[in-house]
Parts: sequence; structure tokens; C-alpha cells
Amino acid sequence: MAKRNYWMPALGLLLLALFALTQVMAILREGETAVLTTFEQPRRVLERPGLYFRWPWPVQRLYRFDARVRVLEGTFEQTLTRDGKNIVVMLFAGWRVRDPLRFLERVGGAAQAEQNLNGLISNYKNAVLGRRPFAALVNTDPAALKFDEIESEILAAVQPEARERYGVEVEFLGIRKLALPEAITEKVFERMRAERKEAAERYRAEGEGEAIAIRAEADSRRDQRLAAADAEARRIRAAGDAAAAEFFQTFEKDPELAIFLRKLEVLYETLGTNATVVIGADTPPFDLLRGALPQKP
Amino acid sequence: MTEKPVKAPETGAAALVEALDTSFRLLRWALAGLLGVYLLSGLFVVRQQERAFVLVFGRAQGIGDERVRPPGLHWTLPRPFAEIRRVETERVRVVMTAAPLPAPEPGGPGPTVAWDEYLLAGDANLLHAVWALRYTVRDPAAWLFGFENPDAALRNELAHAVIRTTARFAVDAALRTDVESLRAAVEETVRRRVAAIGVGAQVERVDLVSAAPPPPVAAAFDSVVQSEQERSRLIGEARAYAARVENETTGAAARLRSEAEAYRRRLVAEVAAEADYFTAVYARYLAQPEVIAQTLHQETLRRALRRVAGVYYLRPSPDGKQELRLWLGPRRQPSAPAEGAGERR
Repeated sequence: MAKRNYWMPALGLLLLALFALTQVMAILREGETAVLTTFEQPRRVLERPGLYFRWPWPVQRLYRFDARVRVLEGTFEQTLTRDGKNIVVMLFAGWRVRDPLRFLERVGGAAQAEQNLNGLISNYKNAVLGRRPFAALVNTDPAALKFDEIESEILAAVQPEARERYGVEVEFLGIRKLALPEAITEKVFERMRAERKEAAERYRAEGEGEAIAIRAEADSRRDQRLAAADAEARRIRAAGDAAAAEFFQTFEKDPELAIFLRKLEVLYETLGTNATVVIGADTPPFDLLRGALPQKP
Repeated sequence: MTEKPVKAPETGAAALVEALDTSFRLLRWALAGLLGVYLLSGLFVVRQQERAFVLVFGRAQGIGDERVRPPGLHWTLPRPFAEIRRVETERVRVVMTAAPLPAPEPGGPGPTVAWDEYLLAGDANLLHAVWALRYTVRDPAAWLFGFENPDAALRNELAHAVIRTTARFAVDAALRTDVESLRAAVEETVRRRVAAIGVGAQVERVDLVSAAPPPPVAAAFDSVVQSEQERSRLIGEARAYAARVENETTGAAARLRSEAEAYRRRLVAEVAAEADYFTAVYARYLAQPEVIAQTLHQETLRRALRRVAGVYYLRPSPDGKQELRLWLGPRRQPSAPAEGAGERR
């Protein structure tokens, strides 16, 4: 009989004890932080993960926060640079709870924290960008680009205030979106079109100009070379004529004989196979037909 | 008499006691069994591509690198005393700056891009580009316990690196001439920043998925490329022309020279031969001029008249009329008679 009664209440007591335990235990996980309040007065900050004991509600209350870095994306807003250019910028930042007590007091939760941080970052973003020209953000000269400096300035301005006001540490931030206002983009397109058109025409003109120059050069070179070759040819022919002239001196010995031989040659050359020749009877040897006989001198 | 009423309840009670006894024994075994199952639920498997942490009462068990559980079978206290947090470390993950643009239909209008989806280039021109970052989780502790939304961190760092790097490249360099430098610079910036913020990721590669001029100006960009090609073509043709002319001129010049040379040689040879002949004749001529002259004359006539088609021999008659005698040779076709009176045979 005692045995029978032992199990049921024992089981019940066990369950009750377990329930009571859950009310006085708090498990803080990796990446979490918490504030323990006694009658809503902050008493203790729990930072290291593990098992903690506490009084149950309503004596003590546990407020948990994620202690990890959270990346927040800001709003996409228009701002003015120093030289009056409108740009639209969005920043991002990584933040975490640094002072849980202050965080609980001043902020209360992550959503609220991000809202506050957004406002803070926005403020300083406008201030810092307003001191810089557009060319510090967009420039083909890398030395003139000041992204690092701008972001450092904003971060340096935001960090102390975030710590002080919200108990939050801003670990890093940066520009994640940079654009021109919608109204400007169409003008930019027009400018881009005009630039391209000018470049296209320039390339075409360059091509034509250079082609003409190459061809002219080629023609001029050809003329020069042909002239030189022509002169050379003339020289050779003249040399030939001069050499021949030397031989002509031989004919000086008897010019009439030379002429006679030449005539004979021409006679032979000109009487071709289709020629018809009419010869007078006095021409030797045909004078033989008349009966010409050798005469003694 | 008094036994009977006592007996009945005793039998019933005994049966009840027995039944309860059995059921409690069963309950004991059942509880023991449940406890065993409960303890067994602490078994867990870490897969090959994963690593895991065991949080016992919230704290990661182990110190330093020992905290990371390698792939395999492990046991720990069951919930709610212990919690298992896993992360895939081997899988290559991707974040992109935007969804890739769909390919434009040929001839149709280009894809629509919103005004805020453009990137600013260094010469204040606009372009559209989509980038991708491939990474793996290298430090699971930092990934799980250091950051609440680590992939958002990477997505933002990628966008950040893209913006500040594109802002120093001219639009033509970013789209065409210097794309690899741009990609390498973005990758270098992403690596540096990811290491600096300590999110525990390993950057595998940063890729430029697509880059194009804004659709409204795409045609203008194309025309520049076309005219560059046109320029190359014109210059190429001119160069080909120049080469051709050069070759032709070389040939023409050589020809001029060789023709002149041939003339010279021929002339000299001919004249030399004539001079030799003259010298030879002259020697004989000096001795007997008239004989030599006549002999040469006859010889020439003989050779010449052998070739001709017809010879007409005119013999003057005493009364002044001309007679025509026909020379008959081995191969002769009688041709048309000469004008004037004459005989023919």
C-alpha cells in the first residue's frame, strides 16, 4: 500500500520540481546577452553564455538581446554635395549591443535601435557628403576618390553618439548604393549618346584620313621609284650608245664602204617573202642577160 | 457468519491490488524505456559538409578549435539541456548584386532597367552590371555567433566594393577595354573588407556576371564599335593597296632596268659584230675595191631574190619601151602582171 502511493505523488512532485526549476533558471546562449531586473530595476548584466539562477517573475525579469553584429541597410535618400550635385545614397552598417543596460533603458529592442541608428547615420551622411564635391565619389583619377575618408568620417561621427545614446557599437559602415536622381538620368543618357556619336565620327574620320595618307604615300613612293628606275634605264641605254659609238670609230676608216655595207643590209632586210621586185636590165647580174661580158681593164 | 461479507471485498481488493501492481510495474518499465529513448535522442550526426557546435546550457562545449564538431556521430545531453547549432562549411554560396537581366529579344526593345539600378562610372556615365560573390564559411564560430545576418553582410560588402571600384573606371574601360582590371579590383576590395569585418567567410571568387550600357544608349555604343571596325577596315585596305603598289613598282622598275640592259647588250653586240665584219671586209676591200664591192652586191641580190615572191626583169628596148622578163624559180606562183607593157612567159 505504501508502495502504491509512492509512485504517483513522487511523479507529481518531480514534475512540479521541474516546472519550478524552469522558473528560476535562465540559459544564456552563445551570441546572446541579457539584463536581469529586480522589480524592473536593472540589477545585473549577463554576458557570458551558461546557466544562471534567478527569482521568478514578478520578482525578477530577464530581458534578452542578440549580442551579435547585425547588418542594417539604411534608407535610399537624396543628398547634396558641396558643389550642388544631387545624388541618391544608401549606406549600410554593422552594429551590436555594447552596453546592455543602456540599450535596455534607451532603446529596448533591435527594431527600435535600427530606426534610431538610421536617423543618426542619415544626419552625419548628409553633413559629411555636403562637405565633399561630387568628384570625391565619382572620378577616373583614383587619387581624387575619397570613399575611405568619407566613410571613416561618417563612422567616426556616428560611433561616439551611438555608444553614448543607445549603448550600441557601430563596427563598420559603407556606401552600398549610389545613384543619380531619376530626372538626371535621362540627361546623362543624352550626354552619353552625344559623346558616342562624336567618338564614332572621329573614328570614321581618322580611318579615312589615315587611309588616304597611306595611299598617297604609296603612290608617291611608286612615282619616286619609277623615276629612279627610268633614270637608271636611261643611263644604261646611254652607256650602251656610248659603247656602240666607240665601235663606230672603226667605220671612220672608210665611211663610204660602211654606208655601202649598210645599204646592202637594208636591201636584204626589206625584201621580204611577199615582195615583188622589178629590176632593170642594167642591174648586175641581170646585165648578163643583155650580154655583158667582163672587160679587160 | 462474519466471514462472508469480509471475504468478498478481500477477493476484489486483492485483484485490484494485483492489477495495480502489474500496471505500476509496467509503468516503471515504460518510464525506464522512455528515459532510455530520451537519452538516445542526444545522438546526432554531423554530415560531411557540415560542422556543428554543442551548446550545453547555452555555452559552446570545448575550448577554441575543439568547440567545432567534425563530421560523424556524436552524443550530447538531449534538449533542453543541450542545443546543436550547425553550419555548412564546404558548400560554395553565392550572393549577387541583382538578378541578371534577361537577354533582349533581337529587334525588340531592350530590358527595362529602373533608374536606381544603374552604376556610376568614373566619367559620370551610367552602366548596368550584375556581380556575384562566391564564398564558403571558413570560421563557423564567427559565422554563427559573431553575426546575426552574415549573408547580408556579404551582400552589402559586395555592393559596396562594386560601387566604389566602378566609380573610378571610365565607362568604356568598365564595359570593354579594362574589364579584368575592374573585376580584380572589386575582388581585392571584397577580400580585404570581408577579412576586416571578421564574418568568418572565405572569398572564393568575385565574378562580373553581366555588364552593359544602359538600354537607351546601347545603340550609340554599338555604333562606336562599328566605326572603330570601319576605321580598321579602311586602314587595312589602304595598307593592302600600298603593299600591292610596292610589289608592282618593284616589278616595273626591274623591268625598265632589264629592258635597258637588254638594249645595251644587243646594241653593243650588234655594233661589235658589224665592226668586226667591216674590219674583215675592209682588209680585202683595200686590196681590190671594185671586185669586192661587186661581189658583195651580187651576193646580196642573190640571197634577197631567193626569198621574194616574184621578180620582174625590165629590159629597155632601143625604142624606149620596157620589156618584162619573168624569172622562173623553184617555188613560184605567178602573181598579177606589172603595169605597163611587158612580156610574160
